[in-house]
Amino acid sequence: MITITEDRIGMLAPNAAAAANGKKISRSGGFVSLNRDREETVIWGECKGSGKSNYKTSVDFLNPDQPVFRCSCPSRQFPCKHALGLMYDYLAGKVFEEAEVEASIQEKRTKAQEKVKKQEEKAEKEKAGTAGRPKAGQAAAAKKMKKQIEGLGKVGQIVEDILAKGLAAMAGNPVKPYEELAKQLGDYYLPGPQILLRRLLIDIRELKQPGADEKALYEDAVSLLEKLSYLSDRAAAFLEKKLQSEDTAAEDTALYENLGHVWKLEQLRDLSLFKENARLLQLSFSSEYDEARAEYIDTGYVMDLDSKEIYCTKNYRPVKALKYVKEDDTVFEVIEVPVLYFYPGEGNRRVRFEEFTTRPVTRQDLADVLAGADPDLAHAVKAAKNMLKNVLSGRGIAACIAYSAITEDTDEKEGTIYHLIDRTGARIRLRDGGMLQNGGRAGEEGRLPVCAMLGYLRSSELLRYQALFGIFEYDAAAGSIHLIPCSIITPEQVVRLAY
Amino acid sequence: MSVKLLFELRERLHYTAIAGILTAGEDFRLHNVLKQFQEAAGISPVFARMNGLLEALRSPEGFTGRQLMEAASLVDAVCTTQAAGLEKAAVPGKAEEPAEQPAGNPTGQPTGQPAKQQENSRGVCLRQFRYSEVKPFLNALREKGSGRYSILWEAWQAKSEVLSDYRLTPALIAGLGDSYGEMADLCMEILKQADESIVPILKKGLDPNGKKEMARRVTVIASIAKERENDYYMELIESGSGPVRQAAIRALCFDSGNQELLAALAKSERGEAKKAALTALMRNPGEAGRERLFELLKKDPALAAPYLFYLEDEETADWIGDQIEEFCTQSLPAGGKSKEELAKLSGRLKGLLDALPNKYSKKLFECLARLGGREKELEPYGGKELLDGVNLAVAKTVFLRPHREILDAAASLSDACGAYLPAAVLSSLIRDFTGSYDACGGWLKKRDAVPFLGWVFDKVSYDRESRVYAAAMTVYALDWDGETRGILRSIRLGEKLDIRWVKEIMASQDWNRGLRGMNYLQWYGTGRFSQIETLKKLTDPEDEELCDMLRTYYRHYAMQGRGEEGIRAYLELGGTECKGMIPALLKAKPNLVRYPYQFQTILALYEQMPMTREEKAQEMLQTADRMEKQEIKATNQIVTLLRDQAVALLSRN
Repeated sequence: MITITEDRIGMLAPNAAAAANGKKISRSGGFVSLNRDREETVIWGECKGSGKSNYKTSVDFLNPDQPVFRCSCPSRQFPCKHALGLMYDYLAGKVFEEAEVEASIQEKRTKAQEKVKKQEEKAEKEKAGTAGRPKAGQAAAAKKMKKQIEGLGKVGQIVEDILAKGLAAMAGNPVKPYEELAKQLGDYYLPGPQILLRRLLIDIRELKQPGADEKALYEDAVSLLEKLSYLSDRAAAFLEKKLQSEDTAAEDTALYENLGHVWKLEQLRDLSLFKENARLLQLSFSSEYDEARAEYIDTGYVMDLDSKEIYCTKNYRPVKALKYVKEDDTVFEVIEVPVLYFYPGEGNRRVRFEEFTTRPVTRQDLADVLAGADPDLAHAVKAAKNMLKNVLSGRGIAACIAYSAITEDTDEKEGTIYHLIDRTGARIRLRDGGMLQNGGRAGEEGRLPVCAMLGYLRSSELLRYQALFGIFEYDAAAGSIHLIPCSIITPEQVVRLAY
Repeated sequence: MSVKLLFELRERLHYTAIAGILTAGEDFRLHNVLKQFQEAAGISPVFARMNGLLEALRSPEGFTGRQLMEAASLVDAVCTTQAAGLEKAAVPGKAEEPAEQPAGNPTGQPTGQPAKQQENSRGVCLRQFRYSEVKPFLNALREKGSGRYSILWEAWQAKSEVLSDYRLTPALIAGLGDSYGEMADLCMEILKQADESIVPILKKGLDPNGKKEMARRVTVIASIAKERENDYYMELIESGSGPVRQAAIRALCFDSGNQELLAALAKSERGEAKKAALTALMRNPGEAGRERLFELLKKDPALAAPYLFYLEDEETADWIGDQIEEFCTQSLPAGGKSKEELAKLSGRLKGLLDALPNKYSKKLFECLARLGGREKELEPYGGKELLDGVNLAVAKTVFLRPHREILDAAASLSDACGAYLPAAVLSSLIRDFTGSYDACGGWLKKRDAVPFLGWVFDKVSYDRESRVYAAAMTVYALDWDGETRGILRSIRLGEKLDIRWVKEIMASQDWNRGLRGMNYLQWYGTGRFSQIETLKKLTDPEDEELCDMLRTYYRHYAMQGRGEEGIRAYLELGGTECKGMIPALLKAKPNLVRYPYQFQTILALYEQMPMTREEKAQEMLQTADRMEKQEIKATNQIVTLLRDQAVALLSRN
């Protein structure tokens, strides 16, 4: 049985424009023929194109969690707008005539099944250890580690140089030499420290601008130096130890993750970092540009409806390849994932999945989210602090808090301010975020004034006895912790204050 | 734990990182705090641990960056755990539970509405869309630069639901003060579609002495809440000034209890506030309001005219008729009057005539019939031009109120004085579409009738979906908020057009001449009516006789080289005999082949022509030959372009 929802099409589409084009094709009746097989595992049709002959398009749901798209159009987008249009036609309830599966589709199915079988056999062999890790692979991994250790030494030296003369001196001098050093870190397989150094240089460049917020920038710069120092010291020792024990395999540690290792799903599976049959509900979404990475990062916060854990999905889109990388987007429906993979780390771990379906949210789902909300602010704050205190931690910890009220007050200096009061009567200040969720300082672009949105909800009911999904953020300069509100969860809906 | 000491230590360590380790030796504050920490080492295990790391910083030989960072990291971590921000409950106790339980018991059933659009239990609809859908509009509203207006405009025109996303509200409200006025007005129109829950938000932060931005807020509130916020409008009139006060005065139109007040304001106020009061009186003036409007019409007809548009009653029509009669009695004939006097009286008469649209009474029409017969006497006041305007005002009335009585009266007007043709023709088409030609076709013989008939048939078109002819027109009038808006009127005429109308249009040599006195007729469009465009709109594609006739006409038009519109019309109607059309056009209109970019448009016509590639190529080559022989004027560049195009055609597979 084919399950298609609007959200699912949105998630499968490479970007919003492709989805919009697909909708357009559907609305204008672009498909001149629509067919399906008896078992409803595949749909196909012919779509008018700009050329003489029609395009032949199919969407194969033999594996319902991972549909296969095929189209004879010349587009390199995947799925193309025709495949998306075909799904929109199905969603719209148009009549798909029952027919025998076309020979070409059947042939491709057979080939795909054979490929999967081969991959499974290979995986089995590797698991049983009969194939063993190729010696060449181990040698390469060791070589890489040595290079990383060498690079971390350079990082340590950079930190020493900067601290000897001080950040202020750095701000008074050209940063080009450091930019060169940052570039070189790529040669040492250290993308993590490379990005940290680039963030530091961004802060330094900003410090040179008139009217710069020196306090906040230096605060951030020191924090970055602490991270770099920690990595250069601990990560080097960690890698040395692994080399000595001839263990070159990837590890489930925050240290490994912060070096910038690019994980393959098989590696996560090997480390047992996965869970089967997960149900996720997205509570918030953002897309931000990270200058240090030169990437757009689409971040979605999701709650696992069973474990009540809050994770994040991340989609990295390099500026140079924006056209070719799929965009993530808001998802309103429940995402059902056969296999959910976890990245190493603490706090709101990054998760990833390949196969999925979606379905509408039910009241039970929302009840599950509310059941996962912490009614005790003190408890949640303590847990957040325990995460945030770690030198390698992210800038914020997401949590869901059950509240009795969100109040609006007036402050002489700041104007309208908001507080959240939990069910015990404890309260915490709500603020807009100062940092990007991925590190780095927030620019004005794209940020919704989330606290101000509380004044536009038009219903006081939303501000009483509901749950708030937000991000605890530590303001080091002020020595205080606050909560960035992202969405309000009620028994009937998730009201997003951002996206 | 001594939190103060902790934060002081943190500050010094950070300072060292900023100033540099090399300066640490001279930082007495750092030394002090390190000393204090040494003394406090026994307070807690954490302090003891920190103190251990701080030993390196006390070394007389100095310390490394790594040692500094290690100490700073630990201190920062501890500071994080001590961060303020959480205010605990005054009296810790049992967690409070809501007095009302959340609506409904959790079930496995879907929530009943798409997650995008859900109502809370008070029925307030919070529509939310995806990031990719909302972001472009937020960018358009918040950023500067070109293109942002069209993003919002196109969404508005397409009635995009995304504009109702509540997260756009703050940006839309801020957009009421956008420096680009059209953007601000568009934000206003969008916000008018919101529900009443937005009213308190708009009232909050509304400055009664503000400028246009605040006035727009008032307009939005009034548009949504109408008479329900009457007390609020009164407050603003009392306390406000300028545009806000004017907007509040206009908002009084929704409550008929304000009529006396508005009439008083219309009398006592000046300038924009006076106009605001008159606007508010427009639709429902009551006795006092009517008296005020009539007073104004007598005193200053030009000022009063727009505010009389919605008064359809006989009394108003009679009153206007009386004013016109009075004018005629006192001012006709015009002999002996000075230029200044004539100009003043002319302005007065035009003002009275501007009040004519949407007015009917027997008395008024009799008065107009008499006026129509005095064309010569009216010459000093504008004469023919003036009557043209009256002409079209009466036609507008027919359009706005196509009732039998008015239709008959409009037709009779023309019989009485030979003027008012548009009204008569329009009435005829509405009363008896099939028999309309017999009723008034003879008027087409009059040269002067052509522009007016052009005006009438410009409004008529064949609707292919409903398979019927209809007349449609947009009448512009002042609206309650002071803006002039179009009111679209559409009248069903009939299923079959008398083909003689079409023959007359085709035969007319003057059809494209247009109307004189265009400045005066500002409400009636440009005044130029394209013959081909008129014919195309009148085409019923299933009427074989009509289509054959038109094809023949278009072909003749095209072969005479009168314009590419003829070629396009011919092709759209399925014409197949296209040979020679483009060469004829090029010969007749040499300007078309002056520049390559112009010529490309003409060449593109070949794509639509049902000729073989060889036929097209041959014609192109022959045309190129004629150009070289100077039979058709063209530059060498154009000749080359033509030959290249022919070769390209022939070499296509």
